[in-house]
Amino acid sequence: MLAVRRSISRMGYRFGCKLLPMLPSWPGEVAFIKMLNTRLSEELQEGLFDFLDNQVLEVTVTDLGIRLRVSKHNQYFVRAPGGRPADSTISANIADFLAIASGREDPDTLFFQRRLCLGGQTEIGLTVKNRLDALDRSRIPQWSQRWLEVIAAELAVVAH
Amino acid sequence: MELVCPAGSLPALEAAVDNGADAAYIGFSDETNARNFGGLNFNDKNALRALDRIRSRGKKLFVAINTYAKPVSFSRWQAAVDRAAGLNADAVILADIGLMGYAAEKHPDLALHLSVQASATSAPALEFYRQQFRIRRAVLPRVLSLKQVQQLTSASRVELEVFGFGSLCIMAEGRCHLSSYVTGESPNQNGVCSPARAVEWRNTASGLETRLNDVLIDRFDAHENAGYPTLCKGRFMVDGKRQHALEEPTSLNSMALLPELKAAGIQAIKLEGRQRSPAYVAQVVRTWREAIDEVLKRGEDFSVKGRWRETLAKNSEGKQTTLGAYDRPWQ
Repeated sequence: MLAVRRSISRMGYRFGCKLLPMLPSWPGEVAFIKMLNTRLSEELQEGLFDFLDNQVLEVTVTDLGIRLRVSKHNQYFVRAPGGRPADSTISANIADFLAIASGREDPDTLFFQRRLCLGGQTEIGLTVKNRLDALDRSRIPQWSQRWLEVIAAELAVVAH
Repeated sequence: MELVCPAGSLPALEAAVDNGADAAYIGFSDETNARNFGGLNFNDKNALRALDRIRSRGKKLFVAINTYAKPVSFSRWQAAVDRAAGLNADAVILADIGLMGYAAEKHPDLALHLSVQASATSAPALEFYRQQFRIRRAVLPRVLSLKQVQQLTSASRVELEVFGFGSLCIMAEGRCHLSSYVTGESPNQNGVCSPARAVEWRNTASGLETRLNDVLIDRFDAHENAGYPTLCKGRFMVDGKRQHALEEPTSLNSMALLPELKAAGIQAIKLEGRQRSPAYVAQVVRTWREAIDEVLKRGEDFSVKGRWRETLAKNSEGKQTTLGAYDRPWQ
């Protein structure tokens, strides 16, 4: 059973690595920013992400060829204007991003191991990391947290 | 032996308590503490929540106000002590002698812990702080060998806390001005070894370069582990050779010495890492909880388990963990 699951995951992952780089990035970016605005509305109201005002943060998922460019304007996350270079960049593969998101791995550990890379203004990247670490995880629905953990665990095996 | 654990955020504090911390230490979101990074630490609302979580689990909360007050803004450090006292924290961890005087006089019931930043390394120094400010506990600097720690415990009239695990620095605690040499800001007064705004990571053809205020401090080959971008851990040309001239990126791990530390009468073990995520806190605290429980059960028959060593090594800065100065025979 495990072997079947692993092989499906591996196929899915390889398929994603081939397919996703060929697709345009904007639909993913729009969905990602919508999710951020919904999930982090309280934090946005409190001004905890004001440091991103008119700054461009670029998140790159290296193995899937996904690049998400985020900025903030008037209490909302927005898509960063095209053509403007990023002020800060964060990149890693999908397994490592999900390991961080699910609480499996510590970002500094991955940084020491060169699996998570920061570029541009370090202060923006570091503050993003700290703000995300400080989010109250009990607000994430239990099922979605569980799914995140399962996918992160699966990718930790198949994506390396 | 009390396990004192780092918390840079509320989820980290919960991770500490859930995984066996006896006490958590936090800082406020400003330069009054030595982990003054953007997005880290506690505002008043979150500090109250932290206290609530701690009290509901019957644990202790310490507040680190462990930088040195600036003459022009001493009131900010005083206000931090007042906030900690208002919270009803179990102790404040202080280094500045003026601030200790203020806390002892204004809040006589507030327990004082002498921070590692005060760098008190002798019994007379500890006794001075006890007599003058009624400190309850001192965190010993990491420059001491095991033998020196043992000598101090027999002479000291205050509780002693030592570092168990975490990133090592050059260990000139409270006296280090290295980063101010290139950035104008030091850990002692600004709460950061390297202010993030002065740090730049750049991928180049010859490797990953890190610069502090435009000064190149290290270059990592593709397969080399990176460390924190501090001047003390940089590599420099010395006698025609590129090397770690001051300190290698490495982490202290004194777990193997737990039986000796316990026998010497050490009351608390401190884990470093308020700048790390809840994932680090959970893994490291759980490992140390198991180890301390094992020491309490087995005494001198204690040995470090392979999986504990692996977990700590994985979460270390640099490639290695070390006993640090505990094991320097020349001391």
